[in-house]
Amino acid sequence: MPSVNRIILASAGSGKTTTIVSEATRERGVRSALVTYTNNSETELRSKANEIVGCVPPHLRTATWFGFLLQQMVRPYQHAIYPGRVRGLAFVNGMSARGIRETNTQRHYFGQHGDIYVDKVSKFACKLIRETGGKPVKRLAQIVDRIYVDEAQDLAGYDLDLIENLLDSDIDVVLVGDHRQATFKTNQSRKNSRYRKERIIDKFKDWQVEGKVTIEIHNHSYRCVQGICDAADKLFPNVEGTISRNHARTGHDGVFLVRQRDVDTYVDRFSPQTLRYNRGKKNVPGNPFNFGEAKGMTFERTLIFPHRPLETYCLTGKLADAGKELSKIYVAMTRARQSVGVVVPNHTTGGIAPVYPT
Amino acid sequence: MTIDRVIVRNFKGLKETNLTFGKGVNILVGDNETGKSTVLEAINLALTKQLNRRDAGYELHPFLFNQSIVQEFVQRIQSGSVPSPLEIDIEVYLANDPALAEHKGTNNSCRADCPGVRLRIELDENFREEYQAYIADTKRIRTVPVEFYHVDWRNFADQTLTPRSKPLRPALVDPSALTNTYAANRYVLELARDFLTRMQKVDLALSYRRLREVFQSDANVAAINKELAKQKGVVSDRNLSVALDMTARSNWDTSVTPHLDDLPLTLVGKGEQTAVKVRLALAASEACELLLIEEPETHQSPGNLNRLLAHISERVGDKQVILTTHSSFVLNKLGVDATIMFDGNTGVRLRDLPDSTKRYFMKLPGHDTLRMVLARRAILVEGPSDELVVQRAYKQMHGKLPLEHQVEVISVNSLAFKRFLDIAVLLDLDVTVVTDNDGDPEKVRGKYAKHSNRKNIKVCYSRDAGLRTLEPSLVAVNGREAINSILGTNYTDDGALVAHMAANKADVALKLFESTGDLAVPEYIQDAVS
Repeated sequence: MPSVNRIILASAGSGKTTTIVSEATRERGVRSALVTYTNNSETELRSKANEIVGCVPPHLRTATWFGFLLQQMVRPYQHAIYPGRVRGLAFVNGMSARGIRETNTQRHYFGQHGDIYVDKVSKFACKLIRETGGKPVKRLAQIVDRIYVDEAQDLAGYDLDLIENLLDSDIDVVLVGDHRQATFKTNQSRKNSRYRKERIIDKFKDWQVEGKVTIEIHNHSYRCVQGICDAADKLFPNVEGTISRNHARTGHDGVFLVRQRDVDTYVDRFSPQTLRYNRGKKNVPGNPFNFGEAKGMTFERTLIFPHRPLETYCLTGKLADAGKELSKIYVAMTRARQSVGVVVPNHTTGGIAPVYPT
Repeated sequence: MTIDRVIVRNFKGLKETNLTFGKGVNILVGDNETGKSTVLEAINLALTKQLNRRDAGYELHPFLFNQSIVQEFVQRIQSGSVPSPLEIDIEVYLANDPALAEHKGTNNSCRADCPGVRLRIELDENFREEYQAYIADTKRIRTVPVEFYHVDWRNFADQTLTPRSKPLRPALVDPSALTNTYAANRYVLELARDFLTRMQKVDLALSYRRLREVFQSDANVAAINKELAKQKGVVSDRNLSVALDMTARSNWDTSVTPHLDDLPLTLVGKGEQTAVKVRLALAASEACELLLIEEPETHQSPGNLNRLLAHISERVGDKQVILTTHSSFVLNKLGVDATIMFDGNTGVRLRDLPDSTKRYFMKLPGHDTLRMVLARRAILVEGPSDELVVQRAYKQMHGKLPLEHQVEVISVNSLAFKRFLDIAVLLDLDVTVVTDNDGDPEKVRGKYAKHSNRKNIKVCYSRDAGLRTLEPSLVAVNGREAINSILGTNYTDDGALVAHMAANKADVALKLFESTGDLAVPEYIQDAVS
């Protein structure tokens, strides 16, 4: 029997927010929790629900990942391992409290004022679950029937162990994400480092082999035209190809290489949203977004100012040249509905796409 | 949804109270001033965050704290030590119920894994500096600086609660608190507000709003507004007009009032108001799961009280009722087994009585159970004549009648002694039994043998098999002459005198009780009143 737990691997632009919100709102008998990483995407889920049924229906609750962890996993049974009250989150860059042993609960997990380090929340939750014989999970199973976790590709470290606890419970778990967009890590712990970034797919596959989940692939894109899909797919040759459901034609559709000297006329003519690898890239016209920031966004047209590896890859077409940040490149390539321009040196004569003007 | 346990610390008269409750009806009885009403108030506060029917945050004052704890606190500060800030802490533990899982966790002082609510009135972290400055001035400090306090209201999952997210909706019926008009009005309004469904409330609010719009379109009102508009520039540069206040969210609830037979409920008798509120609360399944009733006998005629109690015991269903009472009638009517004897700290439940004893008390309305239970000490005697003699003996020894020392002399059928002793054992009550030996002291000894080593129970009877009852015992210690003189008789034979006494028990007892001279008291009675 296939597991009721599902992992939905969704291509960029496949409308996964719409998919999960409409499924969750439709099934009124199933008390569901929709969990996302950021406040923004929680707001997005809520407004999607408003769009579909007028308001967030009573059988549905939304939460951010950390809000969910604190409220449902940590606080109800916090006293099992901690005498105080876990007040809030202590944000840290990278790993917190290096070199402090776990046996020192106070300093290993907590910063000043009793705030728990953001990278330790799920570790703390896992420990609580272990120490209490699974009480937080049993409690949650009385409150919700199903949990949707959006952007599941960003799960890392102890988050994965926590999810595993949920997979083994009476709660249906639906993980939604795209490992090709694993640009962000929710957990800095060394735990589960084998599954970092796009290698999260290996964890998903392990779970499927163990019979814990069924993987579904939504390999269509309502957003990008086929030419864009094809170019982006080349970054992950082992993944099933994406089928475009955007059949609109504008006369300038697909991916193009734009020589540096043509940038101004290209911008004048198409008004693309500019994207850059990071702030180090200067002289980018318009109000550019960094690749990572652009995740989840949709534009009519984009113009990408690449970092060195992406530039080389565009010229050679060799994946080995594209560097380590394939996810960020994939995100950048899949933001536009109709056209993606990539800025290349003036001497360029060809590469992964036709040179503009053709 | 049932309250299992309530723990109250440092709230009004309650220093540290730990009480358990059962399903259905629970009756709190106890001496005056033990804090029975405060227990109800504490439960209501923890479940609603309301004091005096207003948000507790606006009702904080130093006398919410236990005054002896406050005194101790002030003295410690004045003697130079730094005690941690005082706080009021109320915990309500609920029975496990999947519907309450959201409120479940171990964030309570027992570390119990169950749903529940904890309300604390504690120092607001933001005022730590001001607080420190306050307690540093040891001369001026007299009480708790509540200005720096706030109300922290959470469930056992450590989530902050809101009036919407509270797990249990109680209805507090406290007729004795209806002392001022404001409270009385609020009390009546709650009838409507608490017991209507959400949809009904919305409908009422909409109808009310529509009514205000009709007012606005009324020709006379329009004419007045037209007239006022001409004043523009005189009073203000803007347009002046009159309109009904549309700002309040749904203020039907300040103008709509329940009526009984077209009479506003505020003008109906208080007894009737209480009865209506109790009945509504029991009937409205959606509106409340818990009834807190303070002394239902207040403002009720015996007939009405009887009907109200019958209604409660018939309709209680799945709801939980916690009530306080001083009336043994209420106690017996609603079930002796539901009684919780409360001494200010903890409660003992009559539920644990043997079934036959429970049934015995259920059958006797207005029985003397409560008299025994509430007395400092009870002396059980076999009949009214024994009662008078014991009263007399007590007064002779102590100079006052027993009641003045909160000692109850209760006359019961001798067959019922055992029932009363069941309760005395359970509640650790101080009880003395005065009984005839009926010619066989050994048999009496055997009958009460199981109580012989209990400190709180004393059984007194004559050891002389020849003195079967009180009458021969009295004659034996006083002599025929003395008794003849008290009774105004002149029997020449002890047997005839005793026979006369037995035949005129009540009359004889009254004469003995009222006699002025010294009356010798049989040793076992002496023992009983000592």
